[in-house]
Order: sequence, then C-alpha cells, then structure tokens
Amino acid sequence: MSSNATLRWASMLGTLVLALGFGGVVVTSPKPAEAPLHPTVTLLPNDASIQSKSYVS
Amino acid sequence: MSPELASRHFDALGSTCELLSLGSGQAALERCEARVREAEARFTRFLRDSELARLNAGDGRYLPVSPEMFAMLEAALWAFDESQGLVNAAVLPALVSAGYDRPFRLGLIEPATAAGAQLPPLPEILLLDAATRSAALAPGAALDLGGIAKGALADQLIDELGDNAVCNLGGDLRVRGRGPDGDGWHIGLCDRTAVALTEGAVCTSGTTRRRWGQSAHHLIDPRTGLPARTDLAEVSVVTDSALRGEVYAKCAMLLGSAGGVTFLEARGVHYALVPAVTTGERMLGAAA
Repeated sequence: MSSNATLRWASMLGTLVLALGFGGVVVTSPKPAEAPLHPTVTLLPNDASIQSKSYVS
Repeated sequence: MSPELASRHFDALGSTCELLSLGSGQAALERCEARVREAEARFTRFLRDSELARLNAGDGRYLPVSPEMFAMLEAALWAFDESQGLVNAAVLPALVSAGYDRPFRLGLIEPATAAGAQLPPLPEILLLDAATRSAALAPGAALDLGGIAKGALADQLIDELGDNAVCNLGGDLRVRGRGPDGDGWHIGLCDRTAVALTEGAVCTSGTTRRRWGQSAHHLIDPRTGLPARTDLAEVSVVTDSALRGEVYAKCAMLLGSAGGVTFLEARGVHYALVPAVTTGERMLGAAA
C-alpha cells in the first residue's frame, strides 16, 4: 500500500473514531490551513459578466 | 449538453445569501439553505433561546455545547490568533454599547456619549473543554459570531453544492469549479473590478453598510471598544478560505490603508480597497 493510501485510511479511521466519540455527529473543523493556500486569480476586463459579488453586508 | 445553472436567493444571517450551482440541481440548494437557517438559529444573538444566547448568559459556568458550536468557538479562537487580536468575538458588549442592541432592520440609536474600553483577549474569557465538549464564558463577557459564522459556513457548505458552485453568505463567498463560461466563476470585488476563480474565497468587510446615527457602525475596533475610525471604506480579499478572507478583510479595515496593505501584502493575497472620504465626522465609501 502506498503512503498516500495509508494516510487516506488513517484519516478515515480517525473520522470514524471521532464520529463514535461525538455520538455519531462529525463536524468538520472550520479552521483553515495554517498558511494561506493561494488560489489562482485571473483578473477580468471591465466589461466581463459577473456571476456573483462579494459585498459589505 | 451543458449543465443547468440553478440559483437560490434568500435572507438569512442578517443579510442576503446567494447559492449558485451547475449540475447539482435545486434540491442541493434547498438542503444548503436549510443548513444556513439551522446555523442562523444556533448562532444568532437576537433570539433568547439560541445556543449562542444561552452560552452568553452562562455567567462563568461550563455549559455543554453542540459539535457545531464547539467548532465555531474553535474558529473564533483561531480568528483571534490569526488576526493578532484584531478579530475578537468578545465584541458583543461593545456592539451593544454602540447601539447595536437589536436586529438592524428595527432601527438603531447612537448613544449620546460613547466610552469604549479595550476588549479582553478572547482566550482569557472563553474556555473550551474538548473532553466534555463544553464551553465557559467569563461573567460579563458575551460573543458575537456573525462574521466568523458566515465565513466558516461558506467554507463548510460549498461541499453541499457539488463541484461547480458558489456559496455567497452575505458577501463572504466560497467558489468551486469552472463556472458557466469555463474559466472559473466571475466574482465582483468592492472596487468594481472582477476576478475569475476556480477554487477559493472572496470576502468583503467595510463600514458603508450597517451605519446609524452620526458616525456609529458595526465594525468595532477591539483596541478601543468603539466603532473603528479608519481611512478605508471597504476591503475585499481573495484567498483559500472564506473564514480566512473574513478575518483578513476585517484586519485590513481596522489597520487602515497603510497598515492594511502591509498586512495583506505580507500574506500574499489578492485584494481590493475602497478609500473612505471624510465629510465632517462621517466617513463614506468613495465608490458608493
């Protein structure tokens, strides 16, 4: 078994143990990765169509 | 045949939410909306029987909390740490002192005098016990989880929407997939520029909305306990997670243009700024 596959199985086992410990409920921790993982950002021209907008609420 | 674009708009979390999905259908959007409403009922400070209201009334006692609340409190502590104290969920007493003591739509009154005080560090007043999944707040302390909840929820709920979707919770927005045009979802930022993203988050913080009286607004500076005085009106941040984006955008707002740019550049994120224009005591967005 490759080390990646081993890690996946360990992760699944850990999730199962957590599920049992929390009475069957698992909530993914909302904490992000330690350092920002930078997404690829493409700047669009001024006349580009917009599908959604981030705004002050 | 290209997949159909499904969309859903609704008011929740004190703002407008927008869900978009290519290929996963309306049922997935309805499930996601139900999760948002469930979270709103849990994390609101305006309902006496919400889980957050019960925790805020705990008066120093350890109370058992749901897995969802425990995770959100961990996120609040992460946000405090990541922002070096600038994003402090223990902001509620200061918000109430500034007049934000009821839902915004009911109308707020700015107090005649405002005497702020530095907020206590969150880790000193919020204690978590993972073994018993319980939490305690110091007497007199109270949490507002509004911004943190929107960011964290967008990160969690994008998985509900499939592999080509947008989860926009009041401007805290998480994106996944190539979008309708195939080059990523096109997202507008606060300065009216736009970016295409296939994976990531865009969040905006600012003082151009939720203002009342002469100069009061909802963005409290934890260093003073008063509505922030900043030369920025709005900041958008593009990064990997909506929780991180929410924290970074708020930090930049609080630090002002000079400190904010240094903060964002040091973290290597894409951002957009709108400077404030001063009109007497009021500071308004230049691009408003």
